Amino acid sequence: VTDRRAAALAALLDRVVPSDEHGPGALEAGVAAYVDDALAGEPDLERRLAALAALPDAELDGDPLFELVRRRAIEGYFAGPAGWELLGYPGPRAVWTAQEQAIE
Amino acid sequence: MSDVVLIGLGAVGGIAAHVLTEAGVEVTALEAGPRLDAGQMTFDELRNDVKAWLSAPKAAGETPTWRTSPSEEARQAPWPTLMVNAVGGSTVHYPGLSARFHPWNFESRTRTIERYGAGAIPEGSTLADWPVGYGELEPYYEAVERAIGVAGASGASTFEGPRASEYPLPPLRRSGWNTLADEAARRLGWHPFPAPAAINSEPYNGNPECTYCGFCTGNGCYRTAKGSADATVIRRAEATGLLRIETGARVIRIEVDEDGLASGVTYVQDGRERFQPAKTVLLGTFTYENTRLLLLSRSRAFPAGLANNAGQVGKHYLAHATPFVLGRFPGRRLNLFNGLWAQATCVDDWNADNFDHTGLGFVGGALLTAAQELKPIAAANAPLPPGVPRWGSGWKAWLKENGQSVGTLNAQVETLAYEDNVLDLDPAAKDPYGVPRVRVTHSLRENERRSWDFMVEKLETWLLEAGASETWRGQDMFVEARHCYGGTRMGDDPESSVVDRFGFAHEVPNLGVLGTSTFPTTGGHNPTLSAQALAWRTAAHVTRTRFPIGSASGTTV
Repeated sequence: VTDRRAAALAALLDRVVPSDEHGPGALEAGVAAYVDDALAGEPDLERRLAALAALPDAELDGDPLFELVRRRAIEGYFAGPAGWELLGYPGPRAVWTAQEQAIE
Repeated sequence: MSDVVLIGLGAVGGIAAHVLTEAGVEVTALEAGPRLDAGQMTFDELRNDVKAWLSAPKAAGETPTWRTSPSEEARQAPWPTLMVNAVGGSTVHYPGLSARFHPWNFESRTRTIERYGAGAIPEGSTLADWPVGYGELEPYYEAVERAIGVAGASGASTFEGPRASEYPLPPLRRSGWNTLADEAARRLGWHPFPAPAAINSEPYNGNPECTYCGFCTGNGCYRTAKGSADATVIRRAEATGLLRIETGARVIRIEVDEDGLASGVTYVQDGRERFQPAKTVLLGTFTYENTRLLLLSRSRAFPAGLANNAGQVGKHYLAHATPFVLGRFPGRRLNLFNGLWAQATCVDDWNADNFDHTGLGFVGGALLTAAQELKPIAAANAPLPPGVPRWGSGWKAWLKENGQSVGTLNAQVETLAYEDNVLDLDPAAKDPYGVPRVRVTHSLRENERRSWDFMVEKLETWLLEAGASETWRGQDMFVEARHCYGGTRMGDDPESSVVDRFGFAHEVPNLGVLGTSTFPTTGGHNPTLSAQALAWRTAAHVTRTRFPIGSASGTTV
């Protein structure tokens, strides 16, 4: 992975799931490697990511590559503790009791 | 020479293996996938649901192409096709919701015309009665429920057909969400009931009870508490010593002899082509592969594909449409990130002909469900209410506040067969082995649009009654290709169907077809239990007619 591609992807991930008062962002959660792997095979990736990263927020929605980055970022982020905590999910466990399945 | 060769050892092949070996018939099963074990079933949504690792061995490479009309070029299907190749097939990862079809489902054409007139059947629809009625199938439903272990509340469903016996297991635990939905439905005057589930609510037949882990669908059970075919009927069939299982065995052709009877099956295993002769061939793969293998098995007697001289293979293709609606319950913690999809409250008031359709403009209905097992990636990917940002800090803030407060309800909408909704072989797209993939030509019509909209409104009503402050809709109308039907329709008329009332090909009397590919209609429930009841009946028919006591190779009496 080139520095330019990694930097562009990091900039996008930091906008999709930023680090803020609601918890860690995609970069702190270590999601970049997953997203980068998942994008393998996309043509002309370095140039397209860099172009995307230069766009203002309002122009990102609906761009096919941005939608792919967003979807992969969500997969990576919510596969681990940072995303689970954001949703209020305590994380995987084998046994759940009736009390834990009640509505609070 | 085998008495019977089974192509595919999943939901229906597993049932057939059990019934045949119990009767002393010697069976060879050719399964394209591997054997799996409970130790592989980890709590990993990324691997299980996103990457669908259980589909990787074969099914992922043969996902059908799709188009809405013959004038279009088929392209990669936009929906997932969650077929599993493994001993146990797709029951390894299915949710196991196991409601019987209603008696009406087997005669929906006749009864629709009786009640609403012939004009109620949409133009171009090939809606047909089944050649089998609920009463004939009831003993087989009962047998399957006992063999795989179905948990349910006997008599709780107002609309269910008569049962000769109670469910073998009590219903699964009721979650807070199940109870909230149940009470709301009752206030609306509906008749909710706990979902019947092929899941052990208590230890059953040597397998332990469910622990509500939250990784049931898209995954095998980590402790074999699911009534998947591998953990139940296949295990028992193997214990008889009469079932030989070949894994990694990819069937490429069903062969016929000079008389036009099936003589056996050619398959590829470890890169070598092999032939398995058999007296009877039972084809029990997924809907798509059942059609594909017949179309690929060309011979002098069957130039357009096996059992296809009447041109019916691939016709009458169907799939459930599956709307969902979401609702927000501010300040409440719903605890949906655990349990299992079959831990649900069901409503059948709007299914089949359980309500008056006068003026509604559609046939049939849907099962409505309030289920557990919302997984975190799926939850984060779910549609958001209007005005909520889809990413960034504003989105995170909304998830932080509402992640535990969003509930969803689902419906499985019956769709109708139409003349031009068909399967064939794609002339352009091939699987990784160079074999043509199936091409789906399918569109939903006005009938389905009206039913979809009707069911979405019912789901919204249900959510609001349960206390949602706002509701919003999921995807617009789409089909759920994991519940698909037809291609080898069952019927009495060889000109309009492929197999007879016992599941045997009209044109090839020793070739049986198992699975939902034989269903004339979708019904409004999950299909596996009904497919297994039919498979039991087909296998029992084989033992009665082809291997009377003592004539099977394995019988020592």
